[in-house]
Parts: sequence; C-alpha cells; structure tokens
Amino acid sequence: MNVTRNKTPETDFKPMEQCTPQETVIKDVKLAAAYVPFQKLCSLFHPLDALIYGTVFPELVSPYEGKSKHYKMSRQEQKGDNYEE
Amino acid sequence: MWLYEKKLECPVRIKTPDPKMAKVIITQYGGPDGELAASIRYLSQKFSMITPQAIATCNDIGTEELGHLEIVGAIVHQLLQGASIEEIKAAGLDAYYADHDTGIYPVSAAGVPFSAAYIQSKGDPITDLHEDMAAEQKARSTYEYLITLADDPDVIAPLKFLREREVVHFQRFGECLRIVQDYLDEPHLYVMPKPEFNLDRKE
Amino acid sequence: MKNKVEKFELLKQITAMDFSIIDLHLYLNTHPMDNCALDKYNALVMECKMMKESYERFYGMLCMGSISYKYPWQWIEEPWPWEYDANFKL
Repeated sequence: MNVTRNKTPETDFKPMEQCTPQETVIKDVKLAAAYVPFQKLCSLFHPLDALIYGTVFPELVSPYEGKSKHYKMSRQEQKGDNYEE
Repeated sequence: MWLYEKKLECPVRIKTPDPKMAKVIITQYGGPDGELAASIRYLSQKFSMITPQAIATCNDIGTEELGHLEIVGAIVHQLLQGASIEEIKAAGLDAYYADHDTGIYPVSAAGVPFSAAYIQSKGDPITDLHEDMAAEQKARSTYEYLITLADDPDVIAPLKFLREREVVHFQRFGECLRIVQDYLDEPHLYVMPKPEFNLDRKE
Repeated sequence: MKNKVEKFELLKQITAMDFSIIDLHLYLNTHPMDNCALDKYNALVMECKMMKESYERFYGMLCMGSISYKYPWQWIEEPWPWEYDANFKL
C-alpha cells in the first residue's frame, strides 16, 4: 500500500528535546533471566498513519516487504564451495 | 466480560477471490500460532498472573487477539466469496469444502483442526510470559511467510497490520517480564498467622 | 451514494482513533505512571466519543448498549463488519 501521507510523526509534546524512546542501559541484570528494554513515550503518529503502520508509536514500526518469489539460489550460492572443481 | 463493537480493528476489503491464499491464511485462524491460540492462551493465563500491569496486559492483549481472529476470518471469508468450485478444487480446498462449504472452521494450513495443545498456561508467571513472547514471535514469522506468499495488495495490507501488532505485543510482554522479575526479586513482608496453642491437650 | 461516502469517512476516522486508543491503552498498562500518555489517551477518547455519537446518530449502532435511533431494531442490519461492503478503503 502506498503511504502517501506525511511520514513525520506528530510531535505535539517533547518537541524541542532530544527524546530517546527507550531505556538504553539496563542495570543489575541477573543470570538466567531475559531483559527487554522499556519503551519511553516521545511522539505519536497521527491516527490515520497509526492505522496504516499498525502502531501509534514510530519507534515500534518494523517494516517487512516479503521475499522475492522468483529468486532461486544456486547450490554454490547456498553452500559457498564446490568440491568437484 | 466482553463487549462487541460492530467494526473491524483495521479494514478488510478484498476485491478478488483467491482460494489458494485462503487455504494458507486460515492457519492464522485455527493454526498453532494463530489468533485463536493467542487469545485463549492469554485469557487463560490471566487467572494466575501476578502484578497489576501483567494481569491487565494478558487480559487486554487477549481481548485484542479476539479482534484479530475476526480480521483473519474476514480475510478468509472474502477470499472464498464468489470463488468457483473449479478454483476451490484447484487450490486443494476440496477436502475443506466437503466438510465446511465456504464456511470458516478453525484449522491450520495443513487442515489440522485447532487444539489446546498449541497453548500452555503453566501457572508460573515467568514461564507464561516467556510462552507469550515466543508466541508473538511465532505469529510474526507466520505473517511474514504469508506476506511472502501473497500478491494482492488488498490481502497484504491487513497481514502487515497484524504482523506489526505482534511486534508491539512482544514489547508489552517483555515489559511485563521486567515488572514481574523485579517484583519477585524484591523482599516482601508477610504477615505470619499466630500459632494456635491447644490448651486442651494437657494430659 | 453521498451518504455512504460520508459514512465511510466517519468510520475511517473512528477506526483510526479507536486503534490509537487501543495501542496507548496497552502502553499505559505497563507504564501506569506516564502522565503524558494518560493525557493523550484521554484526549483521544473524548474526541472519539464525539465522533461515535455522530456516527451512531446517522448510521447505526456500534455497540451493545448504543442508542438505537432507527426503527425497526437496527443492530441486526447488514452488512456485518467482515463483509466487503462494510469496509472503507484505507
């Protein structure tokens, strides 16, 4: 789908500061535990853009276009060597 | 309890029937990593979840997944509407048609009916949250495979929307895991009940 | 035809707002102390409520518990949301 709308997110708050939309350091981590950084709110998409992107948060947008249906990889490309040569 | 709103979370408007795509997309309806599995998983886990943030997340993401179930059903329904019997047979959907016509029934792409074996609700909050994060990644991968298989932009658009939701849900469950881990690591004050002295046991 | 165009335009705005509300709601579940997010959430909810009231007045009920402005009982009218005809072009 063509996203012809303005890609700049709405910045109606925290517009002047440099805003990092996540924590970048996690302290006191323990062994055998998993850690996902917390998101921090910086800006939001306009609702119609949010509906197209699938989220109202620009930092969570993760585009995926699919793989080519026609591309065929040769064995050489896949494995990288041909011992018959 | 649940309230139904008479609109889809995102629009589904598919002009051209395509039973071949219907056959694979139905896996996100009744398959192992589909929306039915997701909603039942989270809505079941909520009963034994801890911390207000994680309980609310299980409840509300489970609710959103029911809405996604409806979207996937709408996609498959519109892909089958108006298809000819020849097209249905050519797509390998004749076995499905024999049991369901062009109705919607929860099966995987291979025709395996839905099973509770696809979900786990272990009762342990850490375990359950890891299960949820894995489920969101599996769903994301499945949508990526379906996007690769699809050609029609009307089909790809809602698939991309649903895929992005999985990414966002992963982030939320990840945050819940942090919250639950921190809660379990904190020292807690417990009130011990006073032991009862049974004065009648004097011999 | 014009009525359908207006109906779909309003439905598009409501769908987009409702979706933003859902995403913000999930964020607030894990960030209950985020004041900014709460204000933004409430602002969206107020605006969406007004749009829904307009929609329901002219185009029909959206929820169980909505007022029915038409007679006979309008909730059962087609098309239901999973049909092609009920969906707008994004």
